[in-house]
Amino acid sequence: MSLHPTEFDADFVSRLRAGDEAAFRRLVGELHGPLSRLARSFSRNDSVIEEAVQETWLAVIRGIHSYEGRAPLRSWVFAILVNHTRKLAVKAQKQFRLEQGRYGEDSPGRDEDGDDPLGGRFEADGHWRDLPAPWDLADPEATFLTAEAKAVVEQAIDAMPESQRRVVLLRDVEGMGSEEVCNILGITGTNERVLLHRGRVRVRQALDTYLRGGATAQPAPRRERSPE
Amino acid sequence: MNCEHVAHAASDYIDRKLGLRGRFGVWMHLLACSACKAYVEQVRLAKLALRAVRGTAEPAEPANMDALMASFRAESKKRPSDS
Ligand SMILES: [Zn+2]
Repeated sequence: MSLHPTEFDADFVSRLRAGDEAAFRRLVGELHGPLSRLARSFSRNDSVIEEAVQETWLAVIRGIHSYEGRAPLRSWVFAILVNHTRKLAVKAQKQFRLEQGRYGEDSPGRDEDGDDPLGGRFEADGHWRDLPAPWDLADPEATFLTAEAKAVVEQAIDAMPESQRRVVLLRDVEGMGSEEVCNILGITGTNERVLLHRGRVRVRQALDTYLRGGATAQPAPRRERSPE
Repeated sequence: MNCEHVAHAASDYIDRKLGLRGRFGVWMHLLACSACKAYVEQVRLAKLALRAVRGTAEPAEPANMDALMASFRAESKKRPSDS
């Protein structure tokens, strides 16, 4: 696991264009997981996700020669994924409706507007109802790298409304800048700030429960590919 | 600025997205309020914890990696002079 993902520079792009297989392998190794995970916020249909990521890689292979470097390579790849996944998710949804005459599992996600993870935590005068207390972690970074803590965070991410999850994945998990993320997702900076904060509040809440010895989470099994 | 305002502004404060007045307001509040101080610190730690789950939930490469490499090779051959 890398806390500091590789930056892909102009030299790296030239290597991709020159057909350097090691470079392409590294690009895939670095981004395939994050792409799949982001795709999951657009659809819960495994075959849609697989197809979207597959098409993204093919589009990267074909498009790298015309990539102009206006956006960082990483954002360019993510933007391709978002386009493909949106289209495929809509198509799959239509198909499902035609066949079943009703909305499927892929129907529009949980209502983001109703999500207020700070709701009910304050008195009318703006004071805390229950005071937050410090966690007293000697080495927070080490704590967060344990499988158990990661599972807590993963569960909190999975429980987020989709639009919130996308922003959190790109901003805090991938570490992209807010302008990049707004461009990839087509949202305003204000919206991005709100969604990011709500996501962090949820993660803080989950960690608070965990660190105070409340509910523990089992480390999630890695997602296995379904057999063809 | 009360505790509720500070809690809502926590991410903007951490990411330095507040204007001078907002930042000063939060800073003043945090000097006097240990609950908000703990809270803002925990939001900062939540951000750190999110960074730690990068790349943990999905397979690192596609099932058909060999086919993908073949496509890459084929496309590169079509453009031998490009680099
Ligand atoms: Zn306070």
